[in-house]
Amino acid sequence: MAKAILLLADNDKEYLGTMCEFLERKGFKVLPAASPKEAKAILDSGSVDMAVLDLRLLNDSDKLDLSGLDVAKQSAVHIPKIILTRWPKYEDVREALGTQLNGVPPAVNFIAKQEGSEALLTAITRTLNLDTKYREVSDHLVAKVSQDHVDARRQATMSYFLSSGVALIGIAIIFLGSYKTTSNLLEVAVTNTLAVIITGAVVRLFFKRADVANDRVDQRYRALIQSQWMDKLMAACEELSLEDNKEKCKQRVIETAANLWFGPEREYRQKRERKWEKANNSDEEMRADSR
Amino acid sequence: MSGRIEFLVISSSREHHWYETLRKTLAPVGTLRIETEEEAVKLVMSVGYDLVIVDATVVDNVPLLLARIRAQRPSAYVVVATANPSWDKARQAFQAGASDYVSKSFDATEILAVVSAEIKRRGLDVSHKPFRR
Repeated sequence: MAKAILLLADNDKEYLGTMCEFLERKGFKVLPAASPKEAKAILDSGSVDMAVLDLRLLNDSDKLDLSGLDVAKQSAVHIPKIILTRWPKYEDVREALGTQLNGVPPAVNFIAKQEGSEALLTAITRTLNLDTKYREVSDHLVAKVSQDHVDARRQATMSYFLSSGVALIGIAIIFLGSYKTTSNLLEVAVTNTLAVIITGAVVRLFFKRADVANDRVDQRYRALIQSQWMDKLMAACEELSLEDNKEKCKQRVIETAANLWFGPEREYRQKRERKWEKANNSDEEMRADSR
Repeated sequence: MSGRIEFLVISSSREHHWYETLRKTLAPVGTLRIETEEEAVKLVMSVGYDLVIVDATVVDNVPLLLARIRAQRPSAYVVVATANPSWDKARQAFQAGASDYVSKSFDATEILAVVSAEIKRRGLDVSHKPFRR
C-alpha cells in the first residue's frame, strides 16, 4: 500500500524536525513547511493526503497570530486538516471546527501539543481512515448511481421513442382506415375510435415506463444523500467518550435510518400480510358455513 | 406564533435567569421553548426544530445528546452554550455534531450573533417564515 503523504507545518524548526522523524518512523511520507507561504504552496499543489498545521505559523508569542488557521481556510478545501497548537483556546477550536459560510469547517480536528505525539498520530490515523472509508463508500455509491442514471435515462429515452413511434402508427392507422372505408361512415368511426384508444393506451404505457425510470434516478440520489448522513453520524458516535455510549448511539442511528429507509416497505409488507390473513380467515369461515 | 422563529432550548428550570436573558435577547428574532433532554429529543423528531440551543451545564452527556439530535434531524443547527467553556470540551462537542460552541454570557449577545448569522446563511426571512417545519 502506498504511503500516505502529510504536510506538517510549524515555525518551530526543532519541533518540526522531531515530528517529521516521528511520523516518518510511523510509515508516513512527510512534507515539512516552516511558514504559511510554504504550507500554502504545498497544499495548492494538491500533492498531500492531509495536513497538520500549527496555529501560530508566524510568531509563537503573538496571541493574535492565526496564520495556520488562515492557511487551512484559504487552501485546498478537499484536503483534511488538523490544527496543532501549544496554546489551545476554545475560541480557536470554534474557528477551526465550526462551519464557515461555505458550510465546511476549516479543519477536521484540533490537537494541543501538550497531548503528545501519540495523540497527534491517533488523530492523523483516524482522519486518514475516515477519509479513505468515506471516499471508498462515496466512490462506490457514485459509480452505482451514475450507472443507474445512465440505465434509467436509456430506458426513458427508449420509452419516449417507442411512444412516439406508436403514436405515428396510430395516426397512420386512422388515415388508412379513413381511406379504405370512405364508402361506409359507421366503419370509419369505429376504426378511428379503436385506433385512437389503442394508441392512447400504448403511449400512456410507455410514458409511465419513462416516469418509473425517472423515479428510480430520484430514489438513488436520495439513498446516496442519506448514506452520507449515516456515515457522518457513525463518525460522530465514534467520538463519544464511553464505549457504552458509542454502542447506544450507533444502535439509535441504525434504527432511525432503518425506519426511515425501510419503514414504508415494511408497512406495505405488513399491510399485505394482514390482507392475506383476512382472506384466509374469510375462506375458512366460508368453508365452515358450507359444512 | 406563525411567522416567527421558534428556538428549542434544552435546559432546566434551575437556569431560570439565563433562560430569561436568552428570551429577551432573542426576542427580536423569535420565541423560545424550553424543554428537558428527553422531551427535546422527542420534539426534534416530531416538530422538526431546526435551531436548538443546548445548555451544557444541565445536560449529563452532551455528545450523546448531540448524536441523538443529529440522528433525528441531521440538518438542525445546534448551539452548545456553557458557563465554563474549555477547548477540549469544545472539540468534543464539535466532533459529536455541534454546529457552534459559545459561552453563557450575561447578555447572550454571542448566541444572538451566532443565531443571526445562521438565519442569514439559510436565507430566512424572519418576519414571514417560521424556522421550524
